Amino acid sequence: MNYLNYAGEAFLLIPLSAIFLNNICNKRFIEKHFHILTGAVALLQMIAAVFAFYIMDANQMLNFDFSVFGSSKITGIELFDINPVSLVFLFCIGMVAFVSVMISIRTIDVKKGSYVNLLMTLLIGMNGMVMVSDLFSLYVFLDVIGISSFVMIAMFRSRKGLEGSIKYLIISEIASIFILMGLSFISMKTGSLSFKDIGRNLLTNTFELQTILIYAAIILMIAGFSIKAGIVPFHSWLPDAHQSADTSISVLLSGIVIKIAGIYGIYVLTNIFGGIKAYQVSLAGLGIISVVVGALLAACQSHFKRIVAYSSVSQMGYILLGLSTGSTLGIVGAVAHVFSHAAFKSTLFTNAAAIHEQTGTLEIDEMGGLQSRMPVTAFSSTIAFLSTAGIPPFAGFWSKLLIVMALWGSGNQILAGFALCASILTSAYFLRLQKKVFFGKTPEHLSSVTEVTGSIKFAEILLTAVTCIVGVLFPLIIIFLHSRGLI
Amino acid sequence: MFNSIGEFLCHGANLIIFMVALPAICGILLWLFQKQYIVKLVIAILSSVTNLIFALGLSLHNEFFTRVPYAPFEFEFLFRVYDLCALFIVIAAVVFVLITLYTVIYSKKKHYGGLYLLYLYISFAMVNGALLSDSLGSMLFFWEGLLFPLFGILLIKNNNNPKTAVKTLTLVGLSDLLLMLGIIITSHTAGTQNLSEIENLAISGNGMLGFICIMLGALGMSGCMPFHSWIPNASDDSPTVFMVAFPGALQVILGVYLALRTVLDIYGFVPGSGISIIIMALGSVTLVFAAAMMLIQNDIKRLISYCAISQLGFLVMGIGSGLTDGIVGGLHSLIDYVFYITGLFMISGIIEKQFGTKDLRQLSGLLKRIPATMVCFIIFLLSVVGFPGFNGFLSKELIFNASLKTNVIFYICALLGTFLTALSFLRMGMSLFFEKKNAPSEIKKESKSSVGMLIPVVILSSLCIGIYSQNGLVEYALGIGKIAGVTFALIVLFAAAVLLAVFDYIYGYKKSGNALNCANHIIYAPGIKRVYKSAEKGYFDPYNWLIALVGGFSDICVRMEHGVSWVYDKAVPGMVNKVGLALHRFDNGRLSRYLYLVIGGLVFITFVFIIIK
Repeated sequence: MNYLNYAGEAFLLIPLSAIFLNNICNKRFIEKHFHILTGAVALLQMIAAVFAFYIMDANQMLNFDFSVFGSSKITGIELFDINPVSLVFLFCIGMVAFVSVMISIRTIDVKKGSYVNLLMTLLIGMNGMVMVSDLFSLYVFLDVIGISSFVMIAMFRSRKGLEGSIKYLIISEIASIFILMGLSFISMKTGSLSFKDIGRNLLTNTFELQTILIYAAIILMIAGFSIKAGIVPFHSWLPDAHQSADTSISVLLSGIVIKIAGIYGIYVLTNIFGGIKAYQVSLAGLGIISVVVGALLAACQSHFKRIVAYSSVSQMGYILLGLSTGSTLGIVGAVAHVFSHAAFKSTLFTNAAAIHEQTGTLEIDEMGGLQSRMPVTAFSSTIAFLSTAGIPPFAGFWSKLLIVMALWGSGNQILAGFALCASILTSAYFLRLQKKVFFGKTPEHLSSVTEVTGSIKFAEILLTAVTCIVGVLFPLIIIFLHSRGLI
Repeated sequence: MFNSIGEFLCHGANLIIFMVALPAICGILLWLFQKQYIVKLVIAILSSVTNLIFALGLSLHNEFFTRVPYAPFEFEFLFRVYDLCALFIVIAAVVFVLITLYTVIYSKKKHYGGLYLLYLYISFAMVNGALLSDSLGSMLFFWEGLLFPLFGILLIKNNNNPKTAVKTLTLVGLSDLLLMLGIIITSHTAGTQNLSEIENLAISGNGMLGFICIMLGALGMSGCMPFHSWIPNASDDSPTVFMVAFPGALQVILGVYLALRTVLDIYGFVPGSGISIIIMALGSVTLVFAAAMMLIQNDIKRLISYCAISQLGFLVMGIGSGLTDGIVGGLHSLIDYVFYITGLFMISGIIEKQFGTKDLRQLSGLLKRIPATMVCFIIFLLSVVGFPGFNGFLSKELIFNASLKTNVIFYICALLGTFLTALSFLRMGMSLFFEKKNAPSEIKKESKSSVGMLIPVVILSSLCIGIYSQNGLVEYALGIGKIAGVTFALIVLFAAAVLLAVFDYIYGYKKSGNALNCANHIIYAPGIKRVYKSAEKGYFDPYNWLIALVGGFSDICVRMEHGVSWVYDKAVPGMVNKVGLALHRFDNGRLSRYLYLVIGGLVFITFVFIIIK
């Protein structure tokens, strides 16, 4: 199991080493080659995730405990845990980080060293969060994510960027407070914050006040993680932050940060409190509100990134719906949607970067007819839109299908119906986006626009291929999961 | 050689195949040689006469069956020859010889001649096939096969304005659809498709539906109400040769054959039963309505069209009675019908061809110009009315007899029909041949020789002089003994109706001073005038009802579609937009509002926990 230990450690140590390397090396050299360093870290992360998944599958393991620099047996040493779900998250983190690097090559001209530092810190935060095995460590890594994201949004000191980051900081800190309060309430009852201990001791031998406190803790933590995930009605910070950040940062925020900081937190809560009916109902309620309101809000935006950001709000609702079922199928669907969403949302942000690079604007009312001038961008955007709307055979279809099936199976037929109908809304706002940006008449000021080149184009093609290939191969993935008894 | 021909004819199965294949092949030949008039004439005469010989050959055979496989998986045509079918085959073959002759001469220099003959021959192949079929499936195949040439012929002159063709296709198609339904129900009820194995099915439940559908399909093909209205339209828009062949002969032969089979063999039809009354009522309405419409027609072909429809009404009354008198009368009536209606249409064609018009108001004093035609016309007229010594007499009297036995109202209708028919023909005949109007200058002089076209007319008119009526051929075909003669009292009443028509004509003529207006005192009588006006406007045309119904339905569909489109195009997007904008306005970028939302969310989750707990 040494290999697994190495792989697990790699998720934390490689970004840490990159930070050291970034700060030790010559500044000019790093500024010139920052993408190689960050890209390599992201690639290594994906490789390590696949490698660990392979080893775990070969050994029929469902989880593996390890600790960094020491034995897991020693008390007090932080204990980490990797399992297939966390590996999917880790892979997604690597993938989105890679896309962010690809975009940053074109969009970031200054403060490249800071970008590397912050990206690596963010990676450590996210990787740590999905590997920890106790709530307090989770909270610590969560704050690492929050702080690094906040700085990344504000890094380029635009007025909007600062405004967005301040809003994000305040709301995010409220979320942290909620979560911390929740942790302390739970700690009062269980005396331990390890996931295993909480699961064992919670709601047994409790007197009324303790029960109330535990429920209060659950409520606070749902609210806290929902803020982080951008779930309606805790979503308001998200479009402002995503819109004002540089696109290479937006892709990180929308593509993975909200999923790790928010959805993964809720996933952990589901593992612990999933059996509580009120918990399921509140997740389902928040999920469906999020799906519908997010889509409705997306339908009347005029900024490309804002539409995509609201779309993220809507899609997070789907993931929440999957988790609300508490069933394995629902959780598998939710995790699959995390991956699909990471792929298609990254594509859309890459498209946003491409369009912004080539046209200088992201206001869709000022665009039109770009389809003939930017065919690759138009095509990849169409595929991403189809995947988001859940059209077969793309990746988004399968994950949404699993979620709807799980909802149906758990007796929530009405919610399943709503989820399906909301797909029409998704199509509606994306069709509007497609029509305004890529079809119709080209305005004069865009007549000389050409297709984006270089790393952004590469990222577009890569992500489109991932969406298509995963979509086509998804039945095989389902067969694989079935053979492992997961669904 | 003669021996081998004899052997060939002795083998009935060969004859059957040949009777279906020969017309189709000859049709193609005629189309190929459409510009060689003599070759065309020779092929036409030879083929039709050969067909007649084969038909006669078949009629000499005893009853037999034959199977002709046409596709894998045991798909096959099943044919049967027996007395009734042989009689129909012979009638069709006789009339086919005359129609062919007339058609070839009529369409001598017409550009559509070849194509028309092709369609006609294919139709005839289909009619032969349908008459000989013993399986309902095979019959339906040939029956539907007739629809294609019918539509094709109607399009020949009206490619740019296919209104009549569409109307015909709609009405005949609708009756075909009913027939198809009837055949399916009948086959299902009987458990077999073979006509010879189906006998006296009960007319109740499914059987009732099957019977009604088959009868409506069969009579609809003949042009009975309510599927009649395409015939007058076709008389305006299609070549005369079409009227001669289709409404005049082929369709009626086919329709009446199936109606007869249905009443006689397939279903256990009880005379005087409710369904019998309904069919007779249908026949009476057809008879009286069409005969009344004849009075106001100023177009020869249109008038004869209505005459054909009204005579069909007689026929339907006879068959619908289910009585031996009625059925024998109906079958006699069919033979008469084919002869005189075909003959009358031929005469209308001769007049149209020679004088360039078929408008009665422009034609008069033709006695001296075409005396031979006039003689034939008078023979047909007497036959249609049912004058003693002519074909129509026996059939009409038998049908009178049957209708009186069923219900006196039907008898009165039949007398009324006779009166109206006689008056209409007096009006037309007197106006055409005897009256001397100021002949308009546009009437062409008799320039073209029409001797060739007159030959079939003369033959038909001579067939209308009651030679065959008394020979018991029909009774033999139906497998019944010779029926008793007709009652003297009924003949007197019938004669009274005809005389009344003559007196009425004289009265009308004196009143209006014009043969064409001789019926004005009836047409403009209070109450009747309005009915006629409504009829002329097409208010009684079931096709117009159907079209109005379809129009209404499509209007509703359009409104529904607009409604649905409104929901899709306006309501839902509008609602989405409004709600989205409201939410957007709420998310106004103020941090305080964001915080309220967070608190709101927290309250929501707490609320859920309080409720669910």
